[in-house]
Amino acid sequence: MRIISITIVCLFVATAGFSQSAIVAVNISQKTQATVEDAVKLFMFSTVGSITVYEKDAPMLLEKGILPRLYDPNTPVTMGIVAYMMAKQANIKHSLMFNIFGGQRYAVFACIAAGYLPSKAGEHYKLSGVELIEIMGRFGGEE
Amino acid sequence: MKLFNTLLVVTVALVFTASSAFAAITVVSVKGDALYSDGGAYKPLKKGQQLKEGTRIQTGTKSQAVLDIDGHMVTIKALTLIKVYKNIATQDASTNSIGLKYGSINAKVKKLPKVKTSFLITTPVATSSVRGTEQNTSNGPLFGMQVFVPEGQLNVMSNGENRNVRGGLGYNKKEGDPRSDNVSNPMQNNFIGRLNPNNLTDEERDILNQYGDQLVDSTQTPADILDNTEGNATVDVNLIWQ
Repeated sequence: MRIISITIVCLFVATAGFSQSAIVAVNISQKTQATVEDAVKLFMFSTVGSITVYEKDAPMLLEKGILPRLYDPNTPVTMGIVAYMMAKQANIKHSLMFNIFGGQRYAVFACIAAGYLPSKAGEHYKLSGVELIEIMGRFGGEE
Repeated sequence: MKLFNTLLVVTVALVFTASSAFAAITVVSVKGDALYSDGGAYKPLKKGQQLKEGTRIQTGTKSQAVLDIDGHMVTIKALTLIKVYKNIATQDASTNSIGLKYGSINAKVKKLPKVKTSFLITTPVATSSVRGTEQNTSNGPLFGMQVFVPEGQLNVMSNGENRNVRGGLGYNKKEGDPRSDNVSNPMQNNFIGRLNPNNLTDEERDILNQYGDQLVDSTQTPADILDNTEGNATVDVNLIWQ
């Protein structure tokens, strides 16, 4: 009986874990205002392949120089923050200004040139859930 | 009379079931995370599964799912949400309609002999009609609807605007835009670089506009600095006349 119970629990856990990034995408797509935590989750799935909790994932990205600084998880995510993360992760070298000065402003220009952001993208623009998913789909969604 | 009634009921039932007898949506493959919902909660999508009209499919990061819809192959790429609006197939007609809410898909639509094929991909921006060709379609609030046709030809309709898109060309329109972009933009972007006067790129112009006065003396223009930088450059020009 005990073995059967453990097997059933393991099967449920395995199924839940298997489609985790799709479930996260469904939840984020329903938000009118995406947060930094949402961006960190999608970024972790796209690059590392899994997530833990924001309190562990965000400091790890900060340590790698990918997150510009530690934010409150509920902070609205801007194009500047997402662009900075993408430019650092993709190691964009073709942008002279981003290479010299870094920063979110020039990360946005670099990501426009790379095709990750639309031509009229603004650093302070707050992203909705679907907009965040659209950007992450272009950046690291491909199999 | 009883026999007549029975035959009538059977005939009506056959007529109703025949219209969908040939319709089939089969999951050919799933890589990574993909979910489906036929009205209720989302469940994991599995290879070999049969789906119904009205099903929604959501893919995760680094994932993709391939569907066989009446012999037409649809690849749902990562972070994409679609809904199969219509899937009707009879002996002489195949009618399918897919709604693309966000993300991107690739559709390879066969031109079947003696079968009237209609395959529509609909977004809030426009509807593209594929016949016997292939198209890559993406949609989202930031970039709008983008359709690229590797080969063949298709038609895109939006608010009375009707555009034919041929091989190598693309369609792009954002929600709220009165007209779509020039269909040759994807080709231009692939082959032609943009330069400003004095042969400066956008980025060189920006940096020299902001910091140029610190780099040059009063008798020089910003372009003089770059002109004095020696080096060889190779330029490959690939012109295709169509």
